[in-house]
Amino acid sequence: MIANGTRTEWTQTGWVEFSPVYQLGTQRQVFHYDTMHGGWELYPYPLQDGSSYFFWILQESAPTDPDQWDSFLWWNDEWNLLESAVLGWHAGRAIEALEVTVAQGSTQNPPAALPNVPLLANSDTAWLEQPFEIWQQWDTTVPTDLVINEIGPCYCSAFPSPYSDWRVDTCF
Amino acid sequence: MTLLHVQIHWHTSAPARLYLGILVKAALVFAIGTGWHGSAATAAEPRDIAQIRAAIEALPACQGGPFRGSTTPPGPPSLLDPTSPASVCRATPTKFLADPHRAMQLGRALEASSGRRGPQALDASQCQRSVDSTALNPLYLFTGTQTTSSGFDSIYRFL
Repeated sequence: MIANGTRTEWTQTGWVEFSPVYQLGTQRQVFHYDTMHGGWELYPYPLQDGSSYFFWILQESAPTDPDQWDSFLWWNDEWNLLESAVLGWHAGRAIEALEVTVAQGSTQNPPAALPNVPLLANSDTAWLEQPFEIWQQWDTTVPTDLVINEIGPCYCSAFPSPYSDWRVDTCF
Repeated sequence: MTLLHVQIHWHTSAPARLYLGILVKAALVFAIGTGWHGSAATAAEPRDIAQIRAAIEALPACQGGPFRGSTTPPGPPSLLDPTSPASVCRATPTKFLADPHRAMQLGRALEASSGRRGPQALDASQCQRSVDSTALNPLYLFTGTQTTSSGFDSIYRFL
């Protein structure tokens, strides 16, 4: 997920497994959501246990453009463009996030890991001068808020290496 | 890369279509790569949503093919490397679920969690209460940064 500084606009992509209450099938699916389109797009990639999947959210345009964010999934040796959205801010004010959403229901949550998640650091004031491929380890030196909704968690998390390595699993 | 370009080229002969299809794809990858540099080509030509949609539609459709989603880290080629552009195709969603409440839900989740907390194991008893609830509100576990980061990728691995 990437959101603007006020968290009113964002784009996110990943996988989802709906609980039965949604009547959408419980099959694991790739999803995309952004506030420009205002809905969930589901893609029938057969995600399997024991496999790794690469996602990339990328800003295509320069900061002076209407800002287009592209969401990709690596599949069949190609970057599959899932969706593009114009979200009205440029990267210097973006917030990077990982999100785990668990709906009400009795679905067993699949254990998953998010290893080696980097941040692509940049400077808001030196946008054009900075070499832009500055991948930064998401470690504890990066100001990070861990936010847990007060409704209560169903998914237990662990950070073997905060915050670039996540593990999530059902708490039971 | 504009809508006009795509429409004109798409009515040419089959070999030309193939060539131009590759060209369009390469142009998009190039635009992606150069955009990060703040190039004049992308900075001088603001695009609207229709133009963006046209550029997306110009990409070749992704092929289903056999299952080959698994990749051993360090992973696929960078989208940002203009010297070795990655192949790009367009995926097609099978469902679209309008969800006007989603924004409010996320907003509430973020608003309710303004305090900074450290990593922690979550409480299973709270989870049980949620499962018993009739509410459809999703739960959010949100980790974000407010640095000046401008790109993001992630790997999901099902254990």
